Amino acid sequence: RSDDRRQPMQIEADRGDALLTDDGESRLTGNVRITQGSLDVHADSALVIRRRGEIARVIIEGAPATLSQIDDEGNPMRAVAQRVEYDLSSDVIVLSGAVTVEQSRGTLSGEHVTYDLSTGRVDAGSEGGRVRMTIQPRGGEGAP
Amino acid sequence: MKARPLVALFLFAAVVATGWMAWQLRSRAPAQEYMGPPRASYTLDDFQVVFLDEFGSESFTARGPLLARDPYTGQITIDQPVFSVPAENGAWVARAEDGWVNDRGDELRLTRAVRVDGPPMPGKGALRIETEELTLFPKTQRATSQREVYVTFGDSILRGRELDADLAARRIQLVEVRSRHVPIRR
Repeated sequence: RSDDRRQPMQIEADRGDALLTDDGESRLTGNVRITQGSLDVHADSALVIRRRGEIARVIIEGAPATLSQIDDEGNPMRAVAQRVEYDLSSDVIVLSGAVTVEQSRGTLSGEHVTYDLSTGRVDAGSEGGRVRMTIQPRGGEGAP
Repeated sequence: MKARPLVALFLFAAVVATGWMAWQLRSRAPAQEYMGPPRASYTLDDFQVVFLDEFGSESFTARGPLLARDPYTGQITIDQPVFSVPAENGAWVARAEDGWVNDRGDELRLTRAVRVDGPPMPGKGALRIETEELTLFPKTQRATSQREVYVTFGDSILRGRELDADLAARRIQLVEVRSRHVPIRR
């Protein structure tokens, strides 16, 4: 949801190694789970980067990492990728490595996908590489 | 024939008397004196003590209502200790209900309501560690704990076990870690 970013972020992991300074980094490994509002991420590792005391970026990796969220209209989005970079200042998530994004409107796959958390907008193929998209016909009877 | 019962009676009486005397004269085990903790070699009330390292500089300072030193082991116990370990820009201050210092003065153990506060540092938010048991090594500025630990830093609270903290670097390692970060509202 568009206000997910203003919600508390909860992170769970088997192990944590945190440098608690205003510009420090914390590495979490093993069964990593990150939740923030409706955003829900499962991964193998996460790097939490602080700038001026606040969490600025989270870099998530998994085999694969999975990410799900519900947009403002209540539609679910589910994504799978090997690497997910979440930039909290711009509200943009960059997914890379065998990416698949499933939304009610359809499914999109590629090597590099950008997803705007506040608008739900998806951009793919900007870094080259083929993009495959499946759009559900209105009424959703079946794939074309 | 009449004398025999008398003799038997006499012998029986002699056996009883001898037994009773032996019982009375038995060596009694010394009464178990209450062996409490050894008397402290010295105690200090409402004290403040600066502990020096081998080079004569301050290793840490301890203050509290009561300090007692064990005459045999040289270890020190402190009620409601406040330990202050010098650090860049100030000191790490560790408080608890109970404190213990080893004989060399390089290991501090704190138990019950333990709280460690880091020095305020520009560019580095306040750092606080809370737990029920913690071991502090002043010289290396390292802290460890096997119990559940809460670490508060800026907008974040970390919870976990098996703490291994490098206080000077503000580096915290935990297992089974749960962290919660509340974004600062703009």
